[in-house]
Amino acid sequence: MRRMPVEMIKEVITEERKKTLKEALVEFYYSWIRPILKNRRAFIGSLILLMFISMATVGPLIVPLDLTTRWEQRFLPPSWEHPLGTDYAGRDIFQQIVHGSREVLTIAFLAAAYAILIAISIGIVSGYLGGVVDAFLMGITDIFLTIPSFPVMLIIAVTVRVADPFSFAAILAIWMWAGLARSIRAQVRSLREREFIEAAKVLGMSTRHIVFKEILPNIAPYITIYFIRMMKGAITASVGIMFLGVVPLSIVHWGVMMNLAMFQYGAVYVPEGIFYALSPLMAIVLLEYGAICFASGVEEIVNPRLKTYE
Amino acid sequence: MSEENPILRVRDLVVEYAVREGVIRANDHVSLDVAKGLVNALVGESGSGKTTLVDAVMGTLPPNGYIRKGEIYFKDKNILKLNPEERRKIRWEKIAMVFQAAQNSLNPVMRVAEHFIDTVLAHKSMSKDEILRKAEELLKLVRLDPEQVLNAFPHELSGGMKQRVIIALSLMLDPELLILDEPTSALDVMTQHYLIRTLKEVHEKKGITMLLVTHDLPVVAEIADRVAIMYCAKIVEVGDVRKIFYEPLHPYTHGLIHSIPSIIGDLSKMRPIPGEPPSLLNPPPGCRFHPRCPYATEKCKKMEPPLVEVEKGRLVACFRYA
Amino acid sequence: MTPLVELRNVSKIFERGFIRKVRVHAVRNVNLTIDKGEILAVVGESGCGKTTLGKLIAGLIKPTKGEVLWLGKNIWRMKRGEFKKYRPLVQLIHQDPYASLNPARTVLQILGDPIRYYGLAKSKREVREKVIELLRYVGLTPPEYFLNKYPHHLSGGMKQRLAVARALIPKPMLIVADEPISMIDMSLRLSLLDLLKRLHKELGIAFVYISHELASTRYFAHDGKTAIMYLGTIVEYGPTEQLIKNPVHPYLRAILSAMPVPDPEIARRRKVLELKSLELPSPIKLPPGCPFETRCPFSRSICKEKMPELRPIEEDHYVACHIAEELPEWRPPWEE
Repeated sequence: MRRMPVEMIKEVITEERKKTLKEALVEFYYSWIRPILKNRRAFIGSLILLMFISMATVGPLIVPLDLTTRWEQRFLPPSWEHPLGTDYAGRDIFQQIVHGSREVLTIAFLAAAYAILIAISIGIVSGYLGGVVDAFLMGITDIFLTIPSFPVMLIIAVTVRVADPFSFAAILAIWMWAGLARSIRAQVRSLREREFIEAAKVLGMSTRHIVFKEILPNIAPYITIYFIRMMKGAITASVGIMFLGVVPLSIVHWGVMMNLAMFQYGAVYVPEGIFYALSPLMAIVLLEYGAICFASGVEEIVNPRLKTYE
Repeated sequence: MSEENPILRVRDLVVEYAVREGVIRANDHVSLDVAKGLVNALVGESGSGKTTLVDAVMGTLPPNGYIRKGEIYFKDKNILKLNPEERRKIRWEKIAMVFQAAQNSLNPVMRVAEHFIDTVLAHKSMSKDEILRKAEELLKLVRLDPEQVLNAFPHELSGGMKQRVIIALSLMLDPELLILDEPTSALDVMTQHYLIRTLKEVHEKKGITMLLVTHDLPVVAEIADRVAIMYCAKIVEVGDVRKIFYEPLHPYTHGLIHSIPSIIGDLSKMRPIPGEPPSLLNPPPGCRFHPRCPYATEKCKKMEPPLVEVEKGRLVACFRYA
Repeated sequence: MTPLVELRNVSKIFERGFIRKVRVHAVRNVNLTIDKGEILAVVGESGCGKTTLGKLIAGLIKPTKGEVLWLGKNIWRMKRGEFKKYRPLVQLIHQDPYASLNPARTVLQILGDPIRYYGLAKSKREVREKVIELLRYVGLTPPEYFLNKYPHHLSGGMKQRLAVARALIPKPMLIVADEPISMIDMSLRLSLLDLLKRLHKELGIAFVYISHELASTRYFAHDGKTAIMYLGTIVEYGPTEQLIKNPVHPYLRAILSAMPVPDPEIARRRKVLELKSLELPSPIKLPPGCPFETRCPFSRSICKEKMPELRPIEEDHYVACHIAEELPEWRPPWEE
């Protein structure tokens, strides 16, 4: 090897690093940002998701939450002062929606993250090892797939007193991983037979290398899409449980808002209460619509076979 | 191919694809004559634009591909200017097409006889008896036993048999031109040999014009009368098969013929063409072959050589001859 | 001298199906040796078992019967440590470079990880330099251009060169190349074969070249040996040039005479040896006699009854045919 003066080496290295960073940004733009901008579904979905994410992160800082009861202002229609009107106690609904979005998204994110971790571990172990391990793990997976999840979630939520979003997310996650684990297993099984895996084995590469560097990068885009889908599922489930009033974690969680509107104060039975009942519902519908759009748009981008020609 | 009476004439055809990275021009001012009654071969490597040319003729371009310019005449009619009904009549009745790996296109749940009936009834009204009688005749022509084959399901036939069924099927509507896209790829030596022989017999007995689109030069040597060589979206040389193989003019043709391994001939005379075929996204300026050409001059790097007739029926796009 | 690889009476039977088991005889009773630095070509039709034979030679699948020896040692009896040392000494080049390269990894990663694993380089910069050196060696220039590319950015020929570069990292003694040129463009085929020939000459690597046709085999294995396979057995074996000049087995004669040649006059003039039938017998229900009997134009009654053994007919030239001596003299169909 020819020896280079230290300065030259430094130059080479720094120059290279700058270039790769710039290249990486350009590549990120071309492989993700531009396709998303060009794909209508992904674009609409990302706009909606961005709106909710900013609502959950910076929203509470801008919009203060004032839960003082003002009976004289109950069930006001939307106005400049109260964009979505007021609830049964005269409190601003918009403030509650903004603060509630943080609760909703946190639980959904945590639940999806737990579920993904379980699914990846079980899917990869089962698919890569095969044999008895595979049969055993898939047996368990099938049980989780066949048990009707929502009633069981309800029962657990009632019997275990859930006090914090982490354990609540865990209860949700237990019923969400099975489908993904099965499809990861199927993908790992087919990847395992591919020739580049054979090439890695012939090179004597370790199992760890094969799993984490050869197989995982190939299913990563799929997992990303599934993550968004799971968050959507977690939102539905968490709102459902909250709506039934079994886990009253926070008064501004959209599910709790709907529960209060429905059962406690009969907002649905008085015409003026329509905004209180509908606001959280619309927020959920919009958020889930955004998630569906984004996930299927991204799927079209990473899986060109779904796409008819550009 | 300046034969007296070409059955298909492509004039100045420009076909482009819109892709994520930009526009790919897969056929760049392509002109080609398909001589009537002969076996014509269009030779090119993958990405040379030969399949695009056929797709443009048959109207089977993918949705992101479009014809920017040019004319395609079948006899005297410009196909591109006809109304859809007339165009369909020419494209599927007068011109028949056997696609690449067509043996996989037979419907696995239909008997072979039903394929014949469906194909004909989609275009003409004929009685079933008539259709089956004709199918039997054509299956005999491609050396298959009609009784055995007509009642069989596709999976009961071997690859070579399916290939011959497809050829018989493509002849059902009495086409005047038969286009075959890579008919011999993925076939074993013996199967390939019998397929070529079948094609020869079909050509002799029916006098049908054929256009063979392929990258396989030995197969071309075996069956073709006229040959056109395509490189990077352009036609670079056209001529009779013997002229092309014994006296190639274009350096690419020359390189190609000498880079084909063969069981005969001097091993020391076989040598590869240096370099890689250019990308159609970003073709080199001037003559597209100049980066790989041993005779390239400054002129070749700047100007595109036109396709000119150097002797009767012999065209070449190279400054060494123009 | 101990041969590099020796196959002794090797058979491989695949069992398919669960309730009604079907036994597919992919390779039957094969004996072969490959010396250090030798080139052996294996030629046969699709489904003749040549890929399975390649995998048996490479130690990727275990034979149902028989032994595969590496430098005199049965690889399926090796201790863990021994096998670990043996494993990287045999490398593979697959037919389809699209499938043999991980689509989610860059060129630098594909080559860099094994380089680090084999301790050829340690620091990031050393690895990068080593990768550049390798890319230049296999003719991917300028190498810097390729480092951060993914396989789908490369043409078929480039991908195959990348696969070759990867196979060189553990300094193999044998490379099994399974139809390495059949998926790449025709103008690039010869240059890839030239690259493999260079590895053979410069690095002394032995090759098993698997192919379905004889033309590229002749070019690549010109100085080596060729084995002709038919339905899992070797029907003829000898120096490549001799097999092409003086083929004995009717099957070899048939495929030689049917090989298309890039010469219009000869192609139209030559006579092809006619076969009785075009269809191959199924490898599930094999005929009891010679496997080629159903198609052989010279077959006699003995061919139906007894399976012929591979036997020497000249020095270094083996044929499995009962009537090898009685066959008509071979006249090359391309000669006038």
